[in-house]
Amino acid sequence: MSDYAIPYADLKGIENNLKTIYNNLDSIENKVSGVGKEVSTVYKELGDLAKEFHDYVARKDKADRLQLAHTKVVKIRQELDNKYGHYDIVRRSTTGILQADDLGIVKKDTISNATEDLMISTPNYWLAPCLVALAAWINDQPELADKALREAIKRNDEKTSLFFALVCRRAGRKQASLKWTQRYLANQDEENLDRKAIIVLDAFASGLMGADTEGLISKQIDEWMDKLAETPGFVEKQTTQWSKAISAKRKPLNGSGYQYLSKYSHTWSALKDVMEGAQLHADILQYFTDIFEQKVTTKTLKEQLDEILDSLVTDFDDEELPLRKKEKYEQLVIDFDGDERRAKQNMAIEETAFETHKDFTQLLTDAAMNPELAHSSVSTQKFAIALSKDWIMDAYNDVTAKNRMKVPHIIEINVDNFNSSSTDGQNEEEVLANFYTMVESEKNSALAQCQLSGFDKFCLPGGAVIGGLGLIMVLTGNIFLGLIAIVGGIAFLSNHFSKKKSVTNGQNNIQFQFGEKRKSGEQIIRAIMAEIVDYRAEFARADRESQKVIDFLEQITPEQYVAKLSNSSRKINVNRGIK
Amino acid sequence: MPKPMLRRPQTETKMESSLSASHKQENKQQNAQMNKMVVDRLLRKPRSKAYMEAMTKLDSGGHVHNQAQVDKIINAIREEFPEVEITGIMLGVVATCYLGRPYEVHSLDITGRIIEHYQSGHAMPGGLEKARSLAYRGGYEFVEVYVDCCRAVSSNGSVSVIPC
Repeated sequence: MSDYAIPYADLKGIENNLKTIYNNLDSIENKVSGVGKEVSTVYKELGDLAKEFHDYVARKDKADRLQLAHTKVVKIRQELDNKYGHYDIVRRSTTGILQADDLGIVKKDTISNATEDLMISTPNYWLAPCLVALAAWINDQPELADKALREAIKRNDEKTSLFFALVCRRAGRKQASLKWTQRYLANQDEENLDRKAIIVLDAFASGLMGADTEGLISKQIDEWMDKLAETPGFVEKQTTQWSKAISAKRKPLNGSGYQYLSKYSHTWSALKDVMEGAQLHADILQYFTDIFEQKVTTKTLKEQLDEILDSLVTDFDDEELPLRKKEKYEQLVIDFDGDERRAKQNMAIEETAFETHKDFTQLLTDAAMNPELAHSSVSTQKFAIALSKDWIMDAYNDVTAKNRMKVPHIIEINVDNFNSSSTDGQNEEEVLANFYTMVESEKNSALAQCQLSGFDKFCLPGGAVIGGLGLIMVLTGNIFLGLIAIVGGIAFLSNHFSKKKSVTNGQNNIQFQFGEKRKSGEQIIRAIMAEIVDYRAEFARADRESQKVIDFLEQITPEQYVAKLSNSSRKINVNRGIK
Repeated sequence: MPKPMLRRPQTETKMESSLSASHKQENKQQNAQMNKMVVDRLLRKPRSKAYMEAMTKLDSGGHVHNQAQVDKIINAIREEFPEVEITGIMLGVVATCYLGRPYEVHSLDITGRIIEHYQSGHAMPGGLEKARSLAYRGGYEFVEVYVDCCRAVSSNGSVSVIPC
């Protein structure tokens, strides 16, 4: 019997100790779990803080860069003025002399004296001897005109040829104009064309040249197009070139209207990107429509030629190009509110406009898409688009397809720690069911951790027993020890009820918090699903606009967009549909 | 030795060359580049009506087990591009599946000479998966999948090229 009594007593003690250890471990685990939660909260807050900090730094950098750009633009313009400002008087004198001669109200000697003064005050400038030659021509001094012309050609053959082609046309000397144009075109290579060729194209597209000259230019354009089309990789290069030019018209998505998707979906950046791509269609359609809806100018031939002459003498001085390029870059930084990355992106596309030489089709692309930088008129824009329409359509189809390929098939839903997905917003109930399950599981886990510890539970029976024993002791005369036992018992009971109340409060709190989480999560998920449906519909609507662009381009022909002079009987036969 | 992309006439004789080895190598590279440019230009041409019709037969469920029909479609592809050796550069064709949910897309695997229909969540093998989203959502008739790009074909036969 005694053999069994000892092990029985020992096992009870060990069992109790194990229970205590288990309870202690349980308590430690709860505390560790609590610390873990706090650490993850700290991490999240730290992440938010870091994001806010980075955002602040980015904003500050942009603001600083914007201020710097403003300063730089002023400095560059000052430098341009200091270096080339004195050319301005020569430039303005050009049309001044021509108009004065038209009106016949200025003495011929005055014109001669003025041009001679300009020749002296602007050494090495190509336009000064041109004006001396012009004045000599007006004064009927062939020898001086010849001498001055030779000097002008020596200084800048291409510009002088273009200048006199336009001046002779203005004076109604069509044969002379034709010869000067021939001289200019003879030195041009379709793969390495001088950027001033846009002047010829402008005069041609505006119908300002004589029939013979226009025939010559039309033939030249055909030849250039044929030669370029035979060049291996030309069509592919064209498509890439136009793709870039079209993509450059993309605008950032402002106030998207998708407040939940933008906040609760990791797919948002891709969604935003393709929506910008889809909205490009309407913008491009508007861009082309605006160009083609502009009415042909009602200005006289002389007024139009004067404008082109002004452009030739003002916009094409190559020595100014580096500074003009810098000016454009800083202006882009200003336009994009100090965002240097976007300024660089756009500059990379517009850079070709600052190249002194380019191939003929790049000239067309620049004329169509960057008219301000390429210094092309609306007539040239129309003509360039019409002439390039097959490449534009190929490029446009590629840009559209590229954007469509990036459309995310699955849209992620990331609400707090809940992750799910949807393709078209139709699986709302399924996603919500998964969300409820997750919230329920989290709640149960939190409730399981919010329980009375073993000691706290023990306090109720323990306190009652000790208090009861104390009462018996008081009644049996052992007052002092009895009172101590009663006080101890009350302390145990008080601890139990206080902890129980705290646990009940904690559990109620958990129930409330998870109830709120379920409610707000449900609201967010329903809103996301609605936005996914809206997004898909809006994308489809915006994407459909691409067909309108293609339809618009298909009905354009280059012949339509060469302005005709009333007395012109020329036939335009510009090549189309090179593949 | 890489397979030539352009088909040459059988009678063409080998050109004798006195160029050095390095020049030959350079020439080879240039020829390969030129070949690619020519092939790219040929493959951008709008697709013929006959070809478009052959491709619409991809969605017919019976073709899954009818090898003769699959071969007929593959032959239609070869006939569409007589100048191009299509094997090795074209992986297959992917199009929206009209069998209804859960099917999303179907594909013609040129190498495996097989037509298969794919449910949502089931990835397509052999590099065809890259065309899935475009075929399913792009609004194109079908998407031709190549080793270096996808060519999306619209209902009017026009071709859009997406490098990928």
